[in-house]
Amino acid sequence: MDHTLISAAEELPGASLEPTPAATRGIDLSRVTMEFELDGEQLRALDDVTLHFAEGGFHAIIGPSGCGKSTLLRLVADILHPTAGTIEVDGLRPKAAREAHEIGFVFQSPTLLPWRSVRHNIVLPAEIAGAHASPRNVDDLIALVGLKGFEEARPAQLSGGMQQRVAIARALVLRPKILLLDEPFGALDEITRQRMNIELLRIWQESETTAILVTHTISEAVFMADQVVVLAARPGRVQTIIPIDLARPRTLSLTQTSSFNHLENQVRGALFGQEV
Amino acid sequence: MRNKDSLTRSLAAMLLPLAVFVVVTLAMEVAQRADLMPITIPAPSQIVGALPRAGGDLLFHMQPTVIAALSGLFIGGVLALICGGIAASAARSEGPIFRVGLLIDSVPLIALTPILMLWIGTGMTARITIAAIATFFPLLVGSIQGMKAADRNSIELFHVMSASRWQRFSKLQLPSALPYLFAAFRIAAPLAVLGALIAEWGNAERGLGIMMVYALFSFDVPLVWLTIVTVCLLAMAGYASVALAEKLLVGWATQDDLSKRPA
Repeated sequence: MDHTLISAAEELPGASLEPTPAATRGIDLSRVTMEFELDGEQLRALDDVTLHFAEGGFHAIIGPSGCGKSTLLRLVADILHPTAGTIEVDGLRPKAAREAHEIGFVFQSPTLLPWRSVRHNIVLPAEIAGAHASPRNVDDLIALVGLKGFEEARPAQLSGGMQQRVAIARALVLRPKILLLDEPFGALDEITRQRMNIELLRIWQESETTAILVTHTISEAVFMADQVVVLAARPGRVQTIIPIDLARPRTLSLTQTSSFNHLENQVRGALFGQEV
Repeated sequence: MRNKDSLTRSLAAMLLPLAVFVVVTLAMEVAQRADLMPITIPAPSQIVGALPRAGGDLLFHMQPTVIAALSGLFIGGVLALICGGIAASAARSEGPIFRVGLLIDSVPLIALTPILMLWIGTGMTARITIAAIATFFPLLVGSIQGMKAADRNSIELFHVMSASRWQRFSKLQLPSALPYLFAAFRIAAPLAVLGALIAEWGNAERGLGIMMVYALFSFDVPLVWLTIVTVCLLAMAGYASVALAEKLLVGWATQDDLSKRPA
């Protein structure tokens, strides 16, 4: 593993590469390895990954394709199960956290049910959870994601950005402790994406969740996160962790500052190594 | 403005087939009167002319055909849904189920009918069975395709929400399958009428099939054609009913809504 780029990262609390046995809050991955079988060949998607995501923080994961960043998110959400190592979400196994409805997931595609209205798409998780759930007020949630007036619209009537707002509202309806975002705005144009990012930060701060955002846009990772986890590919492993000490709330003007550019360059350096 | 446009468009869509129908009918009428057609093809006016004397018979014989076709379609549909469900939940069973369906579909119904009638008698049960066999394969294909229609992300979403198997089926897989099922039922509805008809040719006391056979043996050409036209109308009515139900139930699957998309 190339550790030359790890500098300030290791000294910062909540951004440690070492296992943190005392930590029960937040999300902990400890020596996680994930292997797939593809056409009879063993493929190592993640290799000995140890990470801590502090509770209430906004974390970004960035890396080249094939670095296992989506796999990592699916392991936390209990969609996939690690070959080796352990994962804890506030001290719970992912399965227990999932069954307690502590996990909200937003996919790259909005993944809405086309036969349901905006409102009925948003209440779906509450409907599934049934009696033992205390969902948020749906009207408040619709207002929060800026969809007032579109409650009865069908997904097909909405633009891509608006569809993704519905998906975010749906992920938050059961007040999950963690919000997992798998390139949620990757399919949107640059302008819409900037707006959605600012919206997402506002929603995240209001909802008090621990957010993990998988992205392949450097500026997006720096703009959104408290720490950027840079992964290397083949096999997927932690390259470095870069803390982002920029003040919140963050505005677009921040992207023009030199400290922002410096952090962007730091991430770029970690991603491309000797090439830059 | 848009409403007016769509009204004009749907009127135009109906007018063209109607115009073709009128032209063909007129051409047949003229050709027959000019002795250009063989006597086995009557003039349209002769077919309609048979209606007053045979109208009562037609209704009498139509009833069991409709019952056999509807029951066959229903049973074929239920069986296809069960098989589709099994194929979807156990991936390894899909190949064998599909091949058996294909095998049944490749056996000529006209040859299978007498054999089946030896096994299960010549009554209504046999006619319903044959109508069900006629519809089974397209319904099976639609049901297998439909059960696989839910995309991977949706299935992952239901997993993250900790949905039960039943919730995943009723709230995701069944609604996702509906457009495919309706497409299959649109194809199967006319086939059910055809299946019932073939069974009645084999053996029946009542039914449009046997009425057709009687008319043939008595060389009542206009009556033969009247039964043919009636069977066509039945098959088309079956198709149209399914299409109407589809429009009412799975309107979301059509992309009309795109025109209402905000900028």
